[in-house]
Amino acid sequence: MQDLTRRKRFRHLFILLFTILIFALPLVLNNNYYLSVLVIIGIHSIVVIGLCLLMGYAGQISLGHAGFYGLGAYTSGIITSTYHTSPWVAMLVGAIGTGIVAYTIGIPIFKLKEHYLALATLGLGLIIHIIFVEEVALTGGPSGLTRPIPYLSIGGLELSNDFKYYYLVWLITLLAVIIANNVVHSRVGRALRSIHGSEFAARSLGVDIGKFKLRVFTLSAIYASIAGSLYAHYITFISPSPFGLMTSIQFVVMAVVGGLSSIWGPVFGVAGITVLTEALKTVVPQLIPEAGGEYEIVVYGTILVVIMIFLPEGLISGLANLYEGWRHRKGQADENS
Amino acid sequence: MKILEVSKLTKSFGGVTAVNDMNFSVNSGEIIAVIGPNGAGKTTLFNLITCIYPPTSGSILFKQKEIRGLTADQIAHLGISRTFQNLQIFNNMSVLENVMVGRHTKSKTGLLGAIFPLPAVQREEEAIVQSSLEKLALVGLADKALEAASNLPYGEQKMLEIARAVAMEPELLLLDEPAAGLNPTETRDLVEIIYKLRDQGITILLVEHDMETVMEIADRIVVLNFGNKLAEGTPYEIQNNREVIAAYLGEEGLSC
Amino acid sequence: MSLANDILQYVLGGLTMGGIYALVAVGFVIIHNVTGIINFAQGEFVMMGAMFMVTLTGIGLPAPAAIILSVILVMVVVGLIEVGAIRSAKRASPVSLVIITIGISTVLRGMALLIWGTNPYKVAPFTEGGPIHIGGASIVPQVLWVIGTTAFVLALTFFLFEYTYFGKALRACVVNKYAAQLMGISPGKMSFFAFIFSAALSALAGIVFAPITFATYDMGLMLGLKGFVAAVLGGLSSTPGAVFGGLALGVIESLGAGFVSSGYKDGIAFVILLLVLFLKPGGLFGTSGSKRV
Repeated sequence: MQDLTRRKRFRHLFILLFTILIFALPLVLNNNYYLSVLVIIGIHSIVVIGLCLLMGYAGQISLGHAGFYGLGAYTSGIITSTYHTSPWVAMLVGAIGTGIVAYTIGIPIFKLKEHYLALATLGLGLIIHIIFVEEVALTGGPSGLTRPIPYLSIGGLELSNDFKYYYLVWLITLLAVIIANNVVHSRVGRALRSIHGSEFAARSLGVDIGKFKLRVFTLSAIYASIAGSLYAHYITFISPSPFGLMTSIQFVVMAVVGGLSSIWGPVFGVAGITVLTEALKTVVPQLIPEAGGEYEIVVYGTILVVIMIFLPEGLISGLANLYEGWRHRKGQADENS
Repeated sequence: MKILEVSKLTKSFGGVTAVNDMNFSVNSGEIIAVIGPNGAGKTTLFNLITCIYPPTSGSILFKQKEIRGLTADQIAHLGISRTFQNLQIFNNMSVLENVMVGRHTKSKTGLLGAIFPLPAVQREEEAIVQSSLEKLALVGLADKALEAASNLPYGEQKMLEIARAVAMEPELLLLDEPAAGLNPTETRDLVEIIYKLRDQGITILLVEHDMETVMEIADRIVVLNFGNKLAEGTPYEIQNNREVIAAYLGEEGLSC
Repeated sequence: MSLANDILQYVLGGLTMGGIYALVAVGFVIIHNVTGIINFAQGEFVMMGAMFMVTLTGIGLPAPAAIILSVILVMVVVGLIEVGAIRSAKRASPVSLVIITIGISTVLRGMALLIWGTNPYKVAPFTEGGPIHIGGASIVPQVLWVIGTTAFVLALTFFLFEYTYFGKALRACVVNKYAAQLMGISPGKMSFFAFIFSAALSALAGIVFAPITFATYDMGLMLGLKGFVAAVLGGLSSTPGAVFGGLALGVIESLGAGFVSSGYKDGIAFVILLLVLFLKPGGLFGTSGSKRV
């Protein structure tokens, strides 16, 4: 099948272009503010790619991913600041621990469907968040971990500035994209998408729905945990507030805005939403001098609603459709002339 | 050899008995048709055999093994495959990918293998593509392999479902109204495909309303009415069975 | 005796909060039943009710007039939202619709911040007077207003759904949208009515709740969430289930806060929620319908 190989090459080409873009970007945007925004986009992308595997491919919503993100961050933070172990070990411990939590709690949760599932994941996220706030002895409570969290280092190189950290984060993001790409275009990925397409048919073809949902849920929790660890070692201070319900909702929003039907959707969604929020912070005060943060919130919400009304399948499909439409019209115009 | 034995099978939904004390068996290599008016319990029977829901009582033996209590996906692993009355195409996939899902039980790459596609995994993937293309060729859709499944016309979607169901190389294939909605040419093609499948050694159990097709291809026919088995026999026997004519053909005329 | 008094006190407090949750939950159920949407902006409807009440009583309107006007204002705002945002999103999938309601809730919260700022506001109780003693527990008179309003509104809802043409049309839409359409019932119109009716219930919840708490621009978030929990506990499609879910959630939370730890109050509620879902995946009053293949 030549066409099939061509499609595969096309996918690999995208990944290659993306890699070049990643490596070139800091050389162009050598400004600490831009770099820090890009680091956060990278970290959030990792979470949202995992979430997209769950939502877009397995068709299951999770409103609790900030909890897993937090588990990664807190495990890294607590272990490195208390026991002075290597941050890499802590990251691994966090990922395994979060994976076990997700798998165990996932067994009963994935017996649920649709809105009930959404609510159960939401409840799970809230419970984890409450533990961060209440277990003061372990987590430092609402004011956060007071002991300093070390920077990550590779060999003897401490990744203590945005420039170095940028490359680490985006390297891992790239890895997350490649793994997600592999999964989507494998037997497992097809099984997942088949669940989304028709559960009845999937089961009649021998797909053990519960098993696959659970595994992808676990994988996406591990993604979130690793992102959390990266966050902890970047900011080097953590408190419960970035790991609450609003963050979970924000992740879902980013996933849906980017588009759930492509692994590039999450990166677009995260970048789009983050750039939008950051841009509003600069643009709105210029338009309305006396405006406070509340205008940004209103504009942000309005844009969100408008995107969903006009591009309900997200930015990626939306843009693809616009392009198709343009090509179609152009084709007609060419025929007429 | 009996591949499927249904005995004393009963299914009630609340107060309604959809299938009542049903007994019949299917021999290996046969084409068996289940007919009956709407609401006779045909689809319910299919759903019971493929364990979509459990029977109220009775037993279903597949190759002398009780399959009551198994889940729908375990049934597939045993070698029973099916199509659906209301199309259940994976609209979010290409035509080829739809059939590739059909190879699920015949392949084994897990999540780890998917994450790290080592050569063995890639070889398996190529084999899946190859055999899926063969199945598509069987139903005449090979040239549409890379199209979105949702873009196919209705008749081709039905063929795709058959290709997908056959991809797992089942021993028993259940076809739920395969000819419904097809035009005469497509119905001819369907009949040819069913014969080909039988020649490959697949036992076929089908529900169908198109009497002409049923009378042509079925080795034996089971007639249902209001959840009960009314008659069983060769097409000739059924056509001349007074009870059947009275309860079914006589009532609804020959239009169906 | 003291333990019994404590329990009574907590249960009464729980029933008060539970009444509010029940109202929000019924609002959730109505919108979900008619349109299939999980409305994440439900809590903002409650907040708007409370905030309009703050402003209207602030400019000197007597309580009854302020209540009615507040409810109407919320209904108008929600009606505009339904026409402007929900109805234009015909192509949206369920998850996109959820994001739209999240967007709406963000806009409403931002607007509230713009108009009312971050200050907490106090609304005068509907009736004067000191605490009322029941057994060993004591409650403020406003609690009676909350419980009374809840009971009255729920009775009204029940009557509306069971005995009026409008209610029957709504229910027909729930059972089968297409059949309802063939009978001349417009699902679009029904969606509109579902939204404004649900908005009225939530606004009322905010209005009666305002005097027992401080009204703030962000009060809707937690109330909306709890309403959602209560609705799901009750099975998401049953009004009596939602009421029961709301009251149960309120009482459990209150007992948990009293006897275990106030920090873990929400945690306890959610642990119980998870347990209920694991044991009864369709909610307490839910019917697990099976799809036809």
